[in-house]
Amino acid sequence: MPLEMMGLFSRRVSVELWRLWSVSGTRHFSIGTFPTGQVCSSRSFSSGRYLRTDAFQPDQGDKIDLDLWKSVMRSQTAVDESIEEDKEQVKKGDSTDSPSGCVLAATRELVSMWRQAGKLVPDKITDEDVKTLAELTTKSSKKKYLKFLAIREGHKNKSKEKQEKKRAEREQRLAEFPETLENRPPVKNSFLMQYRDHWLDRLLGWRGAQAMNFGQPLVFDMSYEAHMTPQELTNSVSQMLEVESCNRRSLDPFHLHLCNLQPEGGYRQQLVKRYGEDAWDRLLITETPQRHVDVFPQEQLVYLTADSPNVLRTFDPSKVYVVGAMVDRSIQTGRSFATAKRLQMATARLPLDQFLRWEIGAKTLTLDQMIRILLTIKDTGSWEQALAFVPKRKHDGFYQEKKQSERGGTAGRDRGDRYPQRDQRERQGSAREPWGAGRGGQDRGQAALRALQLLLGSTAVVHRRGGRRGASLLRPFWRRGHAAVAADGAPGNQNPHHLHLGARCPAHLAQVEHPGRRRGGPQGAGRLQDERLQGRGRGHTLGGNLQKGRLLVRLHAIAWASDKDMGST
Amino acid sequence: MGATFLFQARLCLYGLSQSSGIIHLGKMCVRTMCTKGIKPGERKSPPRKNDTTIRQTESFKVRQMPSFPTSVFAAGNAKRTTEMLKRKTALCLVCPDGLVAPDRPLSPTEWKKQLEEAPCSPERFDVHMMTLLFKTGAELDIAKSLLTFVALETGTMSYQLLLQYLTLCVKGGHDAEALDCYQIMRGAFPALETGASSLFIKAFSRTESWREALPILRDMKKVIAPSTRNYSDIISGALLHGAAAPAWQLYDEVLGEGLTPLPDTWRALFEGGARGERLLGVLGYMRDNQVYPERNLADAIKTWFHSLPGHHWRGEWTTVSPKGVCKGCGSELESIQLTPEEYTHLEARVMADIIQGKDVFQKTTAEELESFKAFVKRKPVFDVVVDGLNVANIVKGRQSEMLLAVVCELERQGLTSLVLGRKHMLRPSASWDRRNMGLIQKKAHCFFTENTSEDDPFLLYATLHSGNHCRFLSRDLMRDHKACLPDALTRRLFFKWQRGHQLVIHGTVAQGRRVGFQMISPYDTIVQSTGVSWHVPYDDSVDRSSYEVPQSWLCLTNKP
Repeated sequence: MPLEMMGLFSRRVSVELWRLWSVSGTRHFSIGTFPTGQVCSSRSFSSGRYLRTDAFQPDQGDKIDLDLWKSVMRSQTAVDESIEEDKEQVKKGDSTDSPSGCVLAATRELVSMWRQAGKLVPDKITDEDVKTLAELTTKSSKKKYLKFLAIREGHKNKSKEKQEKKRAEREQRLAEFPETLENRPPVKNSFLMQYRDHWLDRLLGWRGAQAMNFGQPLVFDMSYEAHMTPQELTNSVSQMLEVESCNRRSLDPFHLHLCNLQPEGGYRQQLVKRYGEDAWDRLLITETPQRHVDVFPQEQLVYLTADSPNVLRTFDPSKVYVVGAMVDRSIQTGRSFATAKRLQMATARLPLDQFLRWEIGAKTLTLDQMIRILLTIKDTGSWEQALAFVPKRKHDGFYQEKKQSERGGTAGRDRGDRYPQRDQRERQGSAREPWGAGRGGQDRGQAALRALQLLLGSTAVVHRRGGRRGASLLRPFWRRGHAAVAADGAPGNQNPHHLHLGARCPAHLAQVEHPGRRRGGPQGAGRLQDERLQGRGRGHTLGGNLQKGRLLVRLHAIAWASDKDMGST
Repeated sequence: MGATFLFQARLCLYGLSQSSGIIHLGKMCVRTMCTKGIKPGERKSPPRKNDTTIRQTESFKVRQMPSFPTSVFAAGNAKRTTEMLKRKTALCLVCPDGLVAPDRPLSPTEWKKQLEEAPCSPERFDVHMMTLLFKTGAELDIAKSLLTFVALETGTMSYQLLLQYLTLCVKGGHDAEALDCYQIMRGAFPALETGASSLFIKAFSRTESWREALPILRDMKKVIAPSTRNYSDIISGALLHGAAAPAWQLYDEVLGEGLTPLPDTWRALFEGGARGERLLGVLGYMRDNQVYPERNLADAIKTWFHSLPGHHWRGEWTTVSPKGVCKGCGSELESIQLTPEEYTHLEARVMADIIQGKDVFQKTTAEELESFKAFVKRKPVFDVVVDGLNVANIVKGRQSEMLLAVVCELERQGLTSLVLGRKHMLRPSASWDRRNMGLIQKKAHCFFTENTSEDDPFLLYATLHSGNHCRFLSRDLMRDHKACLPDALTRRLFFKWQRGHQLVIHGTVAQGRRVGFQMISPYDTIVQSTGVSWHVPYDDSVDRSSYEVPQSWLCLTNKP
């Protein structure tokens, strides 16, 4: 391949070669061996006519042969054609004669040509994708789909690259410091036992089972498959996955019902595909092809829809709320409201207008935002906290906060912030809470507690007599009045155990109490039996300099201990 | 990085939709315009030799500075960036700054020098330079010399480069060169993609060998539905070279595909002449599909009529009087009123598709619809149906007064009117005065729907049900309801009926003044013929919306 090799030669050499060529008018010019010694196929160069006319004369300065590129490309063509002919002969044997195979091959070719033309097209494309592509009718839809694939491929490649890099680094490290007995990093000596993932799974599963027995039902109406495009359906399935995981991890999960879920429908197929057959079967939710009105009494059902004229002011734990599981990118006003009207169900919408200064966008929410809001309102009873999950871009803060700041003087005004009151609280918090140095001390404390709750599967109950530091950590819980209810063993509290955290309680870090037993007694059966824990308990405070992470590690241990305790007693 | 990538992709796609091949070249330069997450090492292009990478990094730094003199957080920065990007994308073709197009064909040695000095990657130099040549409208010889350089340097050429060169040829009208290009590209690449195919079709259609475009079109059909532009090119090519039969065959194919032919196609057909019946068929198509030709197409139509042998057609640019009389020939235009069959068809469709639709609960409830039907049956035939909320909201703050004024005016004219509203209007408030609402209910028939129902469908039903003389009063253009109708024919009927039956309040209404209504034109704006004359409404303004009709006409009369 003299021409391709030309690039390998220096400029002068190539010019010399060209001159040699044009002068001698060689019809068959071939180089048998590659300079490196590799044998390459010798191609005959048989475009004498062009060569004569298009002789390259670099030294004549002014006159440049403009059509030389044509002869170069044509000479390539001549070579390529002979190869291609061979290929075609091979192809003819196995090429699919069916029209569909033909279309697929043509589509594949189109993709490869688009790639060559520099369009945004994936480097590799699977047969399934080609099939989908061939089914798309318009050019723009094909281009969009290819763009989507290309972007996805980019993400995949990037993460793969990252992994490769990590592996290479690890290997290098190992090569440098081979892992021998002496060389191995010392095992961390800790009184804490490692908290394993499946323990957490078991806890969450336990909670889910509780919810399925006693929890408040929440219905997702899966009947909107026909009103969604395939893309929207995929999106809504993703959101449903998030809904389920949110609910599973929550303190007090809903009993999820997926109503109108047709066994052969695309919705169920995609859900099963995303979860996997086994995981789907193990999921602690109820799926049914029945309508919600057939499963629950009519008077209990409330359809939550943005088009409803009624505002949901208080969350009623005795009601069964229904959420339409639909993603409508081009908003289909009144779709779910029509369903509710047809079935003569009560309807309600979230009090968005009552609490938020709405700015832009429709008052539609994604399914995962919906479940977060519902879980929070169920837990806390405060719309301010629940509606924090409405996307911030859509609104400009809460009404109430504004009003309070106006009344409360210049607390927030001097900083010109959007949430003056919260800032004020934060500042106070960070002054007192050592781990809250910086912003959001309270939020972090709250997050730690939230994690604690999630981990323990229990309601944290706070001893008011605890030290100031611990108290401030747990204060948010008193505020909600949540902890107190749980401590009294109020009806409806089906938690397996209560955990009492006394920050400065002497002689123990934590005390575990079972339902029905006397609270907090020193002889309580739930008292931690772990020697080590008890030994170190004295004088330890939960506050102190504990970082969030370390606190959690500690709580992991407690959770484990309490679990064990449950088992033994 | 993700955002950058998405943005880049969007920009590429935007560019592609604008014109054919070359636009996506903006990639690299666009990337440098984003401030977020750019590191030279992150480029998608494969790793290069050391020296080039270093140069890349340096040039990157140099180029980034001047475009963002201030911090990203500085006021107005985002807007400035958007505007800059808009400007850049408007050009579609983005080249690295500092790249200068030569003004004469260069020898390979000179190109080599250019390459070494170029502020972009040496791998992309050819493509960037070609883009620049295209952008500056350079001579073809310069591009050729670039290609020669590339061919000598690398021994081959990328598809992208040839595609750009082809675009340059086709844009400059160098069709012979494009044909050469075709031979080469066909030989060098296994297939042609859509951009190149479209360009070749265009180039071939302008030459003697227009028939070569037909196999290209056939190849295109295998993977993609060819655009009307492709068809239009070949049809014009065929007619230019006197092949009417294949042109008409292709025209039929366009119609068969359900595409609307381009005005250029029609112009080519009219300029191609002959085939009187087929061209009259084209006019019929315009009539059926409510197509209003543009001025140049109307010109072609006029010229064609003039050229008809054995007739004495005379064309005239004219307007129509408000009464529907052509100012050119003095004949009366078609009435806007529907025929009884059309009327019944429309009434049925409106009930089935607009009000009930797939789900009657979407816009109302079943009981409400039944009660409304009974209400309409019980009441006498209405002359005017008023969209209460729409009329009242013309004046904010004193809605009920406005509505009362309109109802009084209608009563004064002795018309039986129906006012449609929602139930919340009956709850006394500042806007909805109890006394006014009482008066309205005395002077007109009233129906109030549920607050959660839509009132427009009821309005349409009541108007259609009351007969052809009944009109409705609303500012609403009813486009969302028109869109509910399934087929084009019914939509056209609806639009025609709407133009003939919709009253709109004229101007602003001052307190105590009488309410005036806009006139309803008595004639239909559509291509029409009486045998001895043709009237073609044509589009002479650029900003006509789809729901508006043109005001200027081409009047063609056959006077022996």
